[in-house]
Amino acid sequence: MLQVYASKLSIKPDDKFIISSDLFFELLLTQRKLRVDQQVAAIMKSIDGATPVNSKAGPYTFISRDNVYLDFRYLSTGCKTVINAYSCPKTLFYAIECGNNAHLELLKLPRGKVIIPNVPFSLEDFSIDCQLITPDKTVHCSSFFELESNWDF
Amino acid sequence: MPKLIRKDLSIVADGFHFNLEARGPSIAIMGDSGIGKSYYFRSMRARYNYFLDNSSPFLFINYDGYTPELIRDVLLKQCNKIILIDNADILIDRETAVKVLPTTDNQLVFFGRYNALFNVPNNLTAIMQKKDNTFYLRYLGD
Repeated sequence: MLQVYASKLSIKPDDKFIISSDLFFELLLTQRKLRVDQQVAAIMKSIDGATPVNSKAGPYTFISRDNVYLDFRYLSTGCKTVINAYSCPKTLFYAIECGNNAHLELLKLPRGKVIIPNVPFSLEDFSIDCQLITPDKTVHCSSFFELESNWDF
Repeated sequence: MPKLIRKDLSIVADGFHFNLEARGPSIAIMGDSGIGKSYYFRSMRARYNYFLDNSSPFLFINYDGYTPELIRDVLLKQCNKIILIDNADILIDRETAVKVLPTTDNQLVFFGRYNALFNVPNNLTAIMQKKDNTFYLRYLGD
């Protein structure tokens, strides 16, 4: 299940987390540890409008929404953060560089651990399966509106 | 204190037009993930970062080798530069925000989400948007 920490105040003092998603993602690429499955492809499509392809240029290539072939390093930081959280579910990531669209994608993940510094915004409700951890409480949320109402401002 | 050196920060790259205008000495550029902020940053760096004699009017700060200490050093020692800082939420720490940003003699462009940390008022905070092949800024309050 996804674990969402509402701000850094919600984690234990000695908990370690990844602040630089770009560098962590770079590590996944250089070590060939990133597995591009359907979920990763869906994340790329949703946030960056990108479609992963098998290319002679290398295993980590995508077609951008403007039909340009690019290396995975050109994905947005928000997209990288979501992929990191999905690919390394035991590692805690600080999603400060994510836009609201990437925050919403984070909440849809089936697994992972993330710190989201601000409550995301959405006019539409959608189902999620996550544990929200605030400085005061831990609650299970099955919808976005439920998570929003439990978030401590 | 920060100064406005160049208002027009436009560039054409890969067939895309970035029509960006700086309305003040420090601006913050926000927007959804994947909208093109880092793309603009990389395009500007590719165009203006080749001056080996330090004569480029621009200076680009991202993860590549920059620590908060080094960023403070750069902001204090450089002057009359247009400094673009990508991933600014991570790279600008509180000490830099409080002690250095108000005293730097440069123009500052932040790519980040917490404009209050960068001492950028809301009217100088903009959302990057894209229409067809053109990227532009929509300032808050417009």
